[in-house]
Amino acid sequence: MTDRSAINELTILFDHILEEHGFGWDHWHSLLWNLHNVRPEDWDALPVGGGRTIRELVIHIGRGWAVYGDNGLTGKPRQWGDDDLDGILPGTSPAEVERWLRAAHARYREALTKLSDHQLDDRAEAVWGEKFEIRRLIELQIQTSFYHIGEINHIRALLQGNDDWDHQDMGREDEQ
Amino acid sequence: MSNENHDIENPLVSQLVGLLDHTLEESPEQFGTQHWHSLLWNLHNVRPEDWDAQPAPESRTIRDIVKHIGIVFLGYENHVFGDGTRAWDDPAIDGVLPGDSPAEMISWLRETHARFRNSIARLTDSQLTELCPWGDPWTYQRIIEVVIQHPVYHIGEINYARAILQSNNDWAHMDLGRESGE
Repeated sequence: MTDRSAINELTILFDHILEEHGFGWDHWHSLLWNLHNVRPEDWDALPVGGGRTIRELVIHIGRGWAVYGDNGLTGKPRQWGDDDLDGILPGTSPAEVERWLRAAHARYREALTKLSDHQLDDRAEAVWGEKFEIRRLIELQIQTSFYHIGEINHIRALLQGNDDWDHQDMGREDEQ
Repeated sequence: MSNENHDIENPLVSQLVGLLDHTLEESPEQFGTQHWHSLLWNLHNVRPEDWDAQPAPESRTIRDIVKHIGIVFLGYENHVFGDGTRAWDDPAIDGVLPGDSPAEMISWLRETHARFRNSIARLTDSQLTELCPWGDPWTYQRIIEVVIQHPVYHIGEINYARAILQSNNDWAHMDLGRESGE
């Protein structure tokens, strides 16, 4: 055990939100993997009855990393909706969005890895004003990302007409 | 999180147990309004008629996804900590099936979650980096991580299905009505 073992554990969990490697076919939960099969026309489309697009959810995830990382972990003020990450903006193409996502993820990750384990029980102010343990604030980022990645997958499946178990990982196995 | 699971001897295991616990349920007393990701919370607003409704023709229902989450808890528990003989589509616990009503399903979910949770809670921190009995060379830590990721991912899918079925798939209704049920 070191004074950063718990932080390292959380960092691994946080890393795998964005991307996973080396896990055979069991890497279906990460964001980039779940965007792999999103067609260009799916990004701004709504399934019947849907109200939130894949693009909206992706931006929401990245914005959360930037805002919660800056405010919750480093104490730098960042307003919800301020998507400028040192000049990198979400853009519109999938490649531009991915570049911005990586920048947002790296920003939060950098702040996370500067913490030590004894700080995890400290309390910090969340964006909405309540104070929580820093461990809990980190957990929220892990939870909310996977939650919305699941929503992204459901939109994709509904748009592509393959919302069944057989197509949960449609076509992606072939490209490992 | 640390208060409810804190284990001085095995803080890394207890941290993972806390994360796993919150996939099922989070304490409103501790976390205020920020408990929207847990399974039971996301089932709180599912109407009885939503459980078997399809958000689109031939799509998965909320019941399908809930059963899948529970079955995966049972499957991973058996294949990592048990005799490895459980079929991956078997929902039975000691011969008892989940039942049909929301109350029966939730009772079953609690038991499926508890089985996996109790097994990982017996691990020590030093075991987390050991390879577990699994077909692929996975550590206990990685297996636990997958079983934390997996329900939250599908809970998001449940929420999107619920929102379509209830015609309130927008940001303002992400937590619709659940605040008043606290």
